[in-house]
Amino acid sequence: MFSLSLKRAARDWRLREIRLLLMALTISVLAITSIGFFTDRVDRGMRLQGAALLGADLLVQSSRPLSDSVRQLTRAFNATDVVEFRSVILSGERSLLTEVKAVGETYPLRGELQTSTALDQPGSTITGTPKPGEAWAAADVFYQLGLIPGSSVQLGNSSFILTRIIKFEPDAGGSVFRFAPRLMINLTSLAETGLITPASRATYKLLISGDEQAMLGLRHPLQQALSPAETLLTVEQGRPEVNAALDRAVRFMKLATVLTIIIAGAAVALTTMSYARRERHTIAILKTLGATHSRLWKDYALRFVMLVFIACVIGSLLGLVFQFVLAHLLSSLLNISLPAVSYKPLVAGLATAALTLSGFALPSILRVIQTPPMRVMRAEATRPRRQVLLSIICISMAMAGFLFWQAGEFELAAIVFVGLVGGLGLMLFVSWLVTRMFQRFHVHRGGGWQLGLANIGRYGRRAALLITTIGIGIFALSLLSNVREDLLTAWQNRIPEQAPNHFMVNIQAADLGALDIFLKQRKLDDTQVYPMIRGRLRAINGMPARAENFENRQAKNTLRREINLTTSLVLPAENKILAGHWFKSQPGQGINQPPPGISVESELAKGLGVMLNDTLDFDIGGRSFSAPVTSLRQVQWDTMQPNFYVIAAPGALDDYPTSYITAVHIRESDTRFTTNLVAAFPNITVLDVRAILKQIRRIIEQVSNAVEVVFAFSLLGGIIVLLAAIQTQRNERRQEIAILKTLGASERQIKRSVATEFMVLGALAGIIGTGLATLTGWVLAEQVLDLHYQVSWQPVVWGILAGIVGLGGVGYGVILSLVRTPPTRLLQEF
Amino acid sequence: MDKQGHDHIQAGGLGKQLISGDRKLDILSDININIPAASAVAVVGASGSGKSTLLGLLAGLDLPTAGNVNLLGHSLNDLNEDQRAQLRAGRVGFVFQSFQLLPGLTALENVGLPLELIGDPQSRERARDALGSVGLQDRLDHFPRQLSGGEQQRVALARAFVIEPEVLFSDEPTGNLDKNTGQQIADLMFSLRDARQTTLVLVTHDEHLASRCDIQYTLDAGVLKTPL
Ligand SMILES: Nc1ncnc2c1ncn2[C@@H]1O[C@H](COP(=O)(O)OP(=O)(O)O)[C@@H](O)[C@H]1O
Ligand SMILES: [Mg+2]
Repeated sequence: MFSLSLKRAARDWRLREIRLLLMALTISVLAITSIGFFTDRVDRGMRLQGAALLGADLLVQSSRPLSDSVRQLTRAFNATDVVEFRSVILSGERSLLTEVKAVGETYPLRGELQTSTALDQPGSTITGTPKPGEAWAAADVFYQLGLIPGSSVQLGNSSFILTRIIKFEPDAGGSVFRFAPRLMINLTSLAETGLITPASRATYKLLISGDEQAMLGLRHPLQQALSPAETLLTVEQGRPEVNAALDRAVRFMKLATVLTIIIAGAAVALTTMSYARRERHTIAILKTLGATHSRLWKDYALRFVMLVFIACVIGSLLGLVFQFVLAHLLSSLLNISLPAVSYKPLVAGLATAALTLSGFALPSILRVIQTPPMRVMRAEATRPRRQVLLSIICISMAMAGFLFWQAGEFELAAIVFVGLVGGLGLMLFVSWLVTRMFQRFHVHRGGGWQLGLANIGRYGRRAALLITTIGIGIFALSLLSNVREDLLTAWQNRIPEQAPNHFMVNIQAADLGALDIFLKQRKLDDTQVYPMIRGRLRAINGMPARAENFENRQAKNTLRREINLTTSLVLPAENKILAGHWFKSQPGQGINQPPPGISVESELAKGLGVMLNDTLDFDIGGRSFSAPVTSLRQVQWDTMQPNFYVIAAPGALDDYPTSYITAVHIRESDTRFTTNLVAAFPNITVLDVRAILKQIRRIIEQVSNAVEVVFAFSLLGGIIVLLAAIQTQRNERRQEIAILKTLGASERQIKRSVATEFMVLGALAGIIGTGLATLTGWVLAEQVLDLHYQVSWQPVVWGILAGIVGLGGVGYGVILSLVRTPPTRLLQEF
Repeated sequence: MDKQGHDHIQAGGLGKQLISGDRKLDILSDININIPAASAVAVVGASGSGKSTLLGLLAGLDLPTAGNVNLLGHSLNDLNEDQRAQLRAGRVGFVFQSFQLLPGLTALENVGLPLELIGDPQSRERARDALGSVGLQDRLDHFPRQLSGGEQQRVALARAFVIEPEVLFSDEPTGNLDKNTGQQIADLMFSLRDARQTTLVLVTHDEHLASRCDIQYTLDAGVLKTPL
């Protein structure tokens, strides 16, 4: 029964509209699948990388040996033990505090350990762990004890031969700061040292790894089985610097995908309008022959299902190919191999095509099916336009659906959605206003441009359509390019070439002066030195704070260990006060100082339930320090600067045991810096974070590439919108131009009139589109992406130019094909 | 259903009024017409007198603003657009001045269309026969744009004939054709009436064609003059 429906559907492929429709749909499927395939893989790859930061997929950490229930549960999995504690090692007369890490045979389960056999050699990946009786140590151990590989050291009751230098340890901990250099031994050698007794302070870790599903499944039972002393750490809590950068990147990619789909949606809307116009006549004929609405509805549904299907197949195949290329290019950057492609993006692609088509095409099709059969007699017979509201609702729902579902993040989605709906409203309003304005415009003399301006007023709906669709295209592209630019520069600024790559901790007050001279001699001026005080949070508003009482993991972690406090007169760069006030400088401190305040990192405060004016009580080396919270502060964790959870007012911690910390950038060529520094200041611990920096830079580079690719998809979508506009306008103007020609208008006049009309509309679309994009981008950057947004006039100028050139190009495309054709043929062909 | 002795179409007090802005425009007023089964009726009148509008109302393509039409025993005012379409399907044929073929379908497919709509399993064969009966057996797979005006109108006729309609409405069927071709088309229509007892309702300018009909109505500015 549907054989003719199928035949009609198949013949449709000859139509430009259907081909454009297919292209637009394919682009959105391509964008969502390739980015989906890619981000899905990268995301899982990142997880692996995150896992590397943990040394495992899951990690149970405890202050006591691990409970039986945990062991029971993890028996079936890949698991290995690690015990960490601080101890002094001896070498002849000299001693050094080290952080000892006793590791099981299979450590690390994720990530790679890099070691070398000579101090000045770069590290290379090693599989395996120190043999019993051997120890590997950070370069600092060698420097500070004046040892070379092959020397032996005493740890507790045992003696160890130092065989390797640890250059990079994947699971160095959540922070780059460590107080003492690392000494790594085999777990089987631990007992002999006699250092681990029930009374000694040590951290026991169980590293667990397995496939994704198994790990997900293990989480919950494991969580249930934990004893109060035990904490479960997962991949998401990797290194904060990396996380922040990745998080932002993923958000950007989501934003980009959403906007690409919206651009494709605009193209779909335009082409279906044109397609629907063409179908009106057919529908009227079919109705006279007895076709019912449901029959017609089925016909078009069939066609659209076919379209969706074909777009999906082509789009996903291209997407698959594309992401392979992408992944291949980037796999050399990523230190890890990406996991296999999953089917998830395919589902997303199918849903996208179906949603785009139903959201953006349905209104036109619903309306055209209403074409009265009388149209076979009178070409102008149409239905009253009742369904404008329906189409607006349809489109809004489709857009909202996309945004929310795609972004998976309420805030991002809400901002873009409000920007978009506001934009649509504004564009319709401006179109209305402008048509009103030009309606007053009378053509006195037949100048082409006057005719063009008058046409804007005469064909209000057409003007509105063009302003809106092109405006949305410009909005999306401009928003994307603004944010992209911002993102890339912000990243580059945040980890600039000169970013600190060496941290110096354990600096004693007595050494400050000499260190300053030492650094100045090496042209390392204005390095900010922060006092660092180790303290444990004991009570909030006088109530004892215990880890067990908190749900929040960060809060738990904070309460279990000592955290770093500092004092500072000025708010560190890249920190932002969210509530309260930064400390006022107190000239000529009197005796009646106000109680000194503290500034707390906002996420931690949230986790602890701490508000402004709450009093926090710290235990610092057995002494109490308590102070009211006078501000909450946002910290950018992805800056390679010393960051602190708690900052006290200047002077407030002067009486407590303090060491100092600073960070400097050492040129790659300066290979002797660490050696010289340690020789001059044996107490200072130097942490080389170049490997971490490199890792972060690599991720950023990789992500920037992906960002550019997504952007290219959006641009492609923009081109299709323009093609779609040409197509609609060609159909729309065929008759108009034919009549003008029959009435004796010259080619020149027609060209001028069309050019004027399109350029004016293009400029308007550009102004509105970029204006809105600037506004939305600003809100997005500040609220979601944590960037400082540079409002500038340049994008607006570019947008207007793009509008003029883009729509001007459409106009040119339209006239070029029509103006040469003889008027009789123009009239016939319609 | 018996085809003779009944009126296939009855219209009483039929009016069509358009409201544009604050002006009311009477396109048709108070039209009463009865068309017996198997008769041939011509409606003539000046351009703009309302002929097409009347035809549309009689065929149920549009609804009147006053009065009612009874088509093949159904009161059209009581039917919605879909029900009116279903009434037409398989029973009512159309021929228009501008042929109204679907450009994307071949001659054969165009003719098969009304049969598809009623789910006829033999639509292909019947369509081929119908095209044969208008002398187009060699042009089955041609698209409308590959056919001349006369040939297109014959395809349209075949499309109307193929369902063996009870009523054939045609709006200036020869208006776009030269005299000879027009003559052929008219002959085909009358032969259908003779063979199948089809009721013919013809809107035409062509006096010769009108004169071949059983009854001639004249429309003048929306008012129907009694038949001569
Ligand atoms: N929907 C409509 N809007 C405006 N005018 C209409 C409409 N339908 C018909 N008319 C007017 O009604 C009159 C009759 O039209 P029509 O029935 O097509 O005449 P005919 O077929 O006799 O030439 C014409 O003046 C036409 O302009
Ligand atoms: Mg007419």
